[in-house]
Amino acid sequence: MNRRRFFVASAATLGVAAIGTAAFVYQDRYSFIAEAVRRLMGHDYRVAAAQQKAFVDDFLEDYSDKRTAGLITFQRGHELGLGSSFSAYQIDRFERELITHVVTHTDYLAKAAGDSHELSYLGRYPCRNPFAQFTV
Amino acid sequence: MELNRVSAAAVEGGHYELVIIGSGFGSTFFLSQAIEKLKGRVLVIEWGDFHPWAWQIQSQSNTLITPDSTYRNLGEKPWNTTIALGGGMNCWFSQTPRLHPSDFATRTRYGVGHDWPFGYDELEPFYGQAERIMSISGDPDMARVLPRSTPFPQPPHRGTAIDRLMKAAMPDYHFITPTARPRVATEHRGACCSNASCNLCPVNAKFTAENGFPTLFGHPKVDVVLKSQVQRLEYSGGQVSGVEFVHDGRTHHVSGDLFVLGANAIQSPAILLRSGMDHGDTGRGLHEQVGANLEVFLDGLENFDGSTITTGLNYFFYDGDFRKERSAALLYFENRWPYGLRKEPGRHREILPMMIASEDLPHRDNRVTIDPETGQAIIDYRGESDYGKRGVEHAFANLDKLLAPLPVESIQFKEWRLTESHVQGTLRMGVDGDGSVIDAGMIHHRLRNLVVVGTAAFPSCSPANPSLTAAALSLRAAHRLFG
Ligand SMILES: Cc1cc2nc3c(=O)[nH]c(=O)nc-3n(C[C@H](O)[C@H](O)[C@H](O)COP(=O)(O)OP(=O)(O)OC[C@H]3O[C@@H](n4cnc5c(N)ncnc54)[C@H](O)[C@@H]3O)c2cc1C
Ligand code: SF4
Repeated sequence: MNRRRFFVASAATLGVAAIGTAAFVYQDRYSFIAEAVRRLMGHDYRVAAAQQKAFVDDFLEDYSDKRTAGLITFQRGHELGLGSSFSAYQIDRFERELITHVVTHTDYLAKAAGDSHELSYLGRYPCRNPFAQFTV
Repeated sequence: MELNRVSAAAVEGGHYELVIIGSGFGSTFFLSQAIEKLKGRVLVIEWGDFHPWAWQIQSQSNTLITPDSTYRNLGEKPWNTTIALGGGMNCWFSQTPRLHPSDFATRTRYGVGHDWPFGYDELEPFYGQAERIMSISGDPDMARVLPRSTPFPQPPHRGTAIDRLMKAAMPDYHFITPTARPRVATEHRGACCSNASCNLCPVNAKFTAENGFPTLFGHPKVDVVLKSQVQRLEYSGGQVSGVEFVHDGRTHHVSGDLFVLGANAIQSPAILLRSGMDHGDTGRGLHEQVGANLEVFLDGLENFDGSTITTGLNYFFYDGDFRKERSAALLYFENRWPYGLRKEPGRHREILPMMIASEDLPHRDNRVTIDPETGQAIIDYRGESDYGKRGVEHAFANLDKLLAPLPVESIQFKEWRLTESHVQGTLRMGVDGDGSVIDAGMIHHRLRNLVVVGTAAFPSCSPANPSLTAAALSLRAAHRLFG
């Protein structure tokens, strides 16, 4: 099966030549999100390219494309030392939302304990509480 | 769902024993109690359409009519309702606490707000009946603050690790949330799987009109006319004689013996005002709870292992003499994450999202009026009371003491909530002459064959979610009329 590196912004899949500096990553929202996940999750997870695209597309729709674009500007500002407490708050919210999406919209929890770092995207409407228990 | 759908043209000029306006909580629970006692026929006139559960899931929407298209809002606060067969039973999240006994007597006990014309004990059997109809899951220990004569129909949900610690430390104040999200499957409903999208429940677990009253609107005595907006009531000599409604741009009339007005707390007063009936404080006192969201970061304690979306209710800040000065506050312990999980690897679940809901004091200047040209409802809401905010602020300021049983790392105030999606108080119950619009039997003071149901009838706010109470009030009103 054709699998690729997932959250390391498989730029080629997404029509971008390569990823290098952070500034370049932010040129496209796919790369921005992928890079953010890699940084936040701290692991080199992988997933099939089509699933990666679906994950990012769905996330952009849920979180809103416009908000993500704004986020990229905030992030750039922070890197240039122009951040404010408002932008820091927005970045924090975005990052938490993104981590939550990874944890709840992939099989991350099932994989986290094992050796395999190959994740599957579970789709836009998975069970939203994978921690819920139903025994007394 | 069985539905005796009739066309507006077919009912034009017809006469019914009972004409019901709207089909939300107030109307439907009234009908469910009245139906077997009626000799003649019933007409339900509903502004919205019937949208089956499958349609709602597929279109990710409860209705095609947006709330803000149904009124003109002079302020910024949104007022959410669902215009459709079943009303708020479509979109609601199914939190079902009863009101507290003191909520019925805030004027007598604390000198604020309005008393209800009867007390908790009077409504108690009807609470039990409404809970049975909705298969409410609840914590028997809750009887310590909200006395009950019958057990909850379903066992309580599984609380989180946090609820277990809080319950052990505060057995008289911390309870597992009562809810119409079933713990165990019923004949027509799946068990709640804690999926946290309850306005559109993917497993059809929460109580709705469709899964809770599957045959009521198909009863041989009942006709239902949909997509028909009631404009006004026709009346003379203290009796309503008929209803005027618009379907597809055409005006229709029906007459009847008894009328039930259950169009929601924005549209019901608008219908009365369009009819030239402004007795008492008609349209005034629009209110809902004052709410705030918080987050508590925990050290080494994981959350989210409960079996439904809100698992804990804490009554510590709810009742006491302090209500002379500041509002009652109810604390919701969440098994969901409105602001996401924590970022730190390995600590994603060490977080407790919370909500504080407090009662507001209804104010006459917060009101529904109508546009004199078009008759459309206008919301003129000027803000919540300082009293209402003080209860939230006090609860937040003292949260560290309340949460002492937990390994708290930090507590953050996230934001004031824009709305609780509860619309209350515009046609309140009371004694004629005190500004109220309807009496203790929910009958209009001037129009004696008009029963007003739903949350419009609430004299006081309470921090608790209102719909179980609206249901119980309707069962009681129908019981008083029909036995
Ligand atoms: C997202 C959301 C979540 C909620 N969650 C909860 C919760 O967890 N717990 C809780 O207790 N409450 C909850 N509520 C509130 C609950 O929906 C309301 O309290 C309840 O529906 C009020 O009942 P009612 O009978 O007064 O009005 P409704 O249930 O709104 O019924 C009014 C009916 O009248 C119809 N109507 C309106 N105008 C006309 C007209 N002119 N002609 C004909 N028909 C008309 C409407 O279409 C509707 O069918 C929630 C609300 C929302 C929006
Ligand atoms: S938590 Fe999930 S299963 Fe339970 S009522 Fe809500 S949406 Fe339905």
